Amino acid sequence: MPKIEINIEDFFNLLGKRIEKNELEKIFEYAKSEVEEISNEIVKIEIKDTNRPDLWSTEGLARELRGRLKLERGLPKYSVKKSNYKVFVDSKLDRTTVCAVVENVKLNSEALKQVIQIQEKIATSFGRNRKEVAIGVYDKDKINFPLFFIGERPENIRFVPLDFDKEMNAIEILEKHPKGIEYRNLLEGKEKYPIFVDSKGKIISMPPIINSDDTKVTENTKNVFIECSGTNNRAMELALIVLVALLAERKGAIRSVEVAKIEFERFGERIKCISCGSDKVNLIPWLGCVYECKSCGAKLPIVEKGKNLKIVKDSIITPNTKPKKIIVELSYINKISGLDLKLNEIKNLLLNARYEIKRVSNDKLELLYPCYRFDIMHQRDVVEDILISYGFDNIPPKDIKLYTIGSEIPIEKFKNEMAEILIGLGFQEIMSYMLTSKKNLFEKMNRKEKEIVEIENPISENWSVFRDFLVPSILEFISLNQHVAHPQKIFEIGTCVILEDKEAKDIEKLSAAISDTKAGYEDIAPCLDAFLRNLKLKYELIPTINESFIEGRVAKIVVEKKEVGIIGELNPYVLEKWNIVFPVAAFEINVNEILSLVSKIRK
Amino acid sequence: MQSNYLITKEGREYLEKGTPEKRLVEILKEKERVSIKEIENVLKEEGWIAINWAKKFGWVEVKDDLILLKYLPKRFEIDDALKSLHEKKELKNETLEILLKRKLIIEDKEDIVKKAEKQIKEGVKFLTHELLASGLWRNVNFPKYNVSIVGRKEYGGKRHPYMKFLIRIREKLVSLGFKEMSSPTIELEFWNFDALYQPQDHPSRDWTQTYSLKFPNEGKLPENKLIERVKKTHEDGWITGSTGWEYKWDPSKAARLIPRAHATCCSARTLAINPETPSKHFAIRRCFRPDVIDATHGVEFHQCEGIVIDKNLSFREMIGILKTLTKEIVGIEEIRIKPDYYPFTEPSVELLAKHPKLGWIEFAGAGIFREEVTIPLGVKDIVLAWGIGIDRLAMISLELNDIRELFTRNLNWLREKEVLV
Repeated sequence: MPKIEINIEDFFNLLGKRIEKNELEKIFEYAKSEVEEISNEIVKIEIKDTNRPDLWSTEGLARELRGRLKLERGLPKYSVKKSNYKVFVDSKLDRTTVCAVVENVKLNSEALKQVIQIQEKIATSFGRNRKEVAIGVYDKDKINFPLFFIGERPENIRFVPLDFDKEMNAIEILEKHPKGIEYRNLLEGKEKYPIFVDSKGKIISMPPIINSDDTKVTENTKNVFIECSGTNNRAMELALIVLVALLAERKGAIRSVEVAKIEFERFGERIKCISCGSDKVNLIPWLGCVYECKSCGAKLPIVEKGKNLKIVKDSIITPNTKPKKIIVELSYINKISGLDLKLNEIKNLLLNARYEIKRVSNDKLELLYPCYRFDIMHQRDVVEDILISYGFDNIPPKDIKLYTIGSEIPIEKFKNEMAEILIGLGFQEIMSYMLTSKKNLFEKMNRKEKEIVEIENPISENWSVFRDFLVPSILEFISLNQHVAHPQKIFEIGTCVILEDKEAKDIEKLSAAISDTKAGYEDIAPCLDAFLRNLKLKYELIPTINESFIEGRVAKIVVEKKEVGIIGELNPYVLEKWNIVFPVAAFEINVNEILSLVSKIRK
Repeated sequence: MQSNYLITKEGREYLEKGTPEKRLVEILKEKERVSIKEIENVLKEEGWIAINWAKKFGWVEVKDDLILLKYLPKRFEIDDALKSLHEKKELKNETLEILLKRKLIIEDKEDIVKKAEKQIKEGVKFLTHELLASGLWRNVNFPKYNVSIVGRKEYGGKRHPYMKFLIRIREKLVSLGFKEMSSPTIELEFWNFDALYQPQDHPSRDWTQTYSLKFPNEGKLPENKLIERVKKTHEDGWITGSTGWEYKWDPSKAARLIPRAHATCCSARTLAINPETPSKHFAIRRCFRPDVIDATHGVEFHQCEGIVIDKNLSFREMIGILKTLTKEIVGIEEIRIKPDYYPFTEPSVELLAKHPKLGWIEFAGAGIFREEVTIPLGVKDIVLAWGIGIDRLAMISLELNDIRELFTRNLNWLREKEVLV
């Protein structure tokens, strides 16, 4: 869940109201957020909604809460002015971009922090660690439009990366820059790396790694250029809208950017305008293609395919800040909420949630909601927003009066019966983790290693495989209680995971052990006998060989010709591995088998 | 003590000739089948004694008027016991009991009186079997004990307090009419995520960290029809009235195996097998997430999950059931709910209860399952879902400050910890 830091004074300014500290917690509940810590002016907030990046900033929270607190209701208004800003994207590039310009924005240090914070959070989550989206924010006044998003060989890419003071090539950036090291896996092995180049040939960034240092935004930045580049269109659009809406809260004026995909072809050494033949043309830096004729004024597309370059797709204009539409039914709202809300009430609650009703026809309401909401998929989502506006505290609970018969899984009941027998025999129950290590399961048990259910990303080797055998859990426990009064009689009933035809399968197992200054087969066998007699199971103990136990003092437990477990004295070699200096005798039984045998016999 | 027994006349006979059943087996050993008449001829009045005991031990079988040898015993316990007793060897109590029952031995009264007299002479410390059986206890004054002293410590066995706590909750939910659900530890991502409308490769699947498996890492997906419906719902909403997540759903991702990360998998599996309307279900399952281990995050933890299914349930009944559960499980009447987020429920809430000592504690999440969850699984009714972080409650109940202590390795603590009342 995203955790962000906001400055409380900055928040109050954006909200347009001061809130008492003891009320903050309650206010943030409206935005599914929890105050984790308040120190001086900094408030640490956890936002539980992983699908509402529009809330992951001071600006976003203020915008949402202005509605819930009825300070500013209905749709936030965004006007996007058209512009001549263009970005050309090489169609051969394996990624694309959406862009926007925000002008005359008032970026104080808090706003800057928020921009950087949300950029990271979105690129990590929706961008899947920048694999699908990376976000670049630039001082627009340091770059010259149009821009080109193209691929270039890493050795040819040279610029001063952010927070560095000397020029590096792309290979050096991936080796030395912290962001290069962090994200180089996204570019490694590619013949060409993506770069943004401005019309003067200046490289302004190498997505998804790093921007150039000189285009970075500061408190003095007035006009901002944003690009969200990657492979996932929905996530790119989301990132752009969230950022634009954030900057709009800082009084910025949004201007659109045209993004056009083009195919490039080299025209030869001497580059001419196809329309008039003049060689006074502006070229695409790095690629040497014409994008504008100074003589006849022709602009893209000015050439035919195969000659120089060509727009392959209709260009798109971004960002799209138009409100979105959804239809909800009045009856559905009342069915899910359990409240008897009237249209007028609903209208008010929706305004607080920053929706507007566009049209009403009978039961159907056509609603508009803000462009930055990407989480509304179903009318159910609207019902939740209505209920949050209504206030959860104001909703009266209603008792459920359903007659239903309860029951537990048979094996759980059976496990309790078995535990009761063992407790009667003086055994203490223990509980252990199902995760353990190969060392505990094999090496310390003198067992040969075999295939077992194993975790790929364990937090520690200690908990990296699932146990298939319960005795190691018991021995671990005994080894940690060497100093505690003997005799120690302990048992555990727990789940083991075994492999059967390469498939993982849960097996409930029971293991009981006695450890004392002298403890042997003659001590544990009567306990097993008592245990099985209580279950009315006739059994045989058949000598066997098991490397964890002493040879000649270990037997298979066989019931109805089925092997259901093992009993014996633990091998001193094993005990020594566990640093256990008191002998241990133990048995282990497959509970699933026993239950099915008991049920079969008693039928 | 063994010398307290005398071998009876019958016993002495058996000692000499062998028990009738032994003699019977010896006859059968040579012939395998003998008629009852023949046995009666050889063993006389002992014939039936022999047959009955041999039958009881499972050595012979009687078919019509024939006796067949079923199992040739390796040793004859009664014969051996008589021999041992005769040689003044110690016998097991169970064996003595059998011999007494068959009247092959009797207690030696004279010996008992002699022993009791000897004890009195030496000074009586304890009340003994001999003193009681001889009646001589009447002549004895027992020395007084310091009864305020206990002596040694006794450790009986008992349930693990945490297990006991989980059992209590299970019992409570059963008493409230909930049926227990189950699911495997190693679960398909399909049930952990996809069937619960958590999109692949999207932050809404990141609300919890999950382990992945090195081996085995792929399982079998359920029937095609279900897969198709879930796929469509993710991609374009199918017939659920939703836009869906608008991406290409990949069955190979759903087929990956992981250790169960939350108990809600059980609810998804239950909904997919046509549960009754109305019905209530619950699960208490161990869950696995790669969290950094600290006082509030254990290596493993338990979740208690439940669903209520009926035609007409609303958000108000949702709060109602949470109130009931809090009262019944935690014993607290005062609750609050606040907005929360889960990809599979809408609205989603967090539940707080006002603990008399600790103040407001967050201990459960809940919500109404989305149509994108219920409809593809074949459920047309409303499904209320809730999940309790049961470990937090266990810690409060057992007065622990560190979640890791739930799986304590401290035998002394387990032995000394008071039981739940």
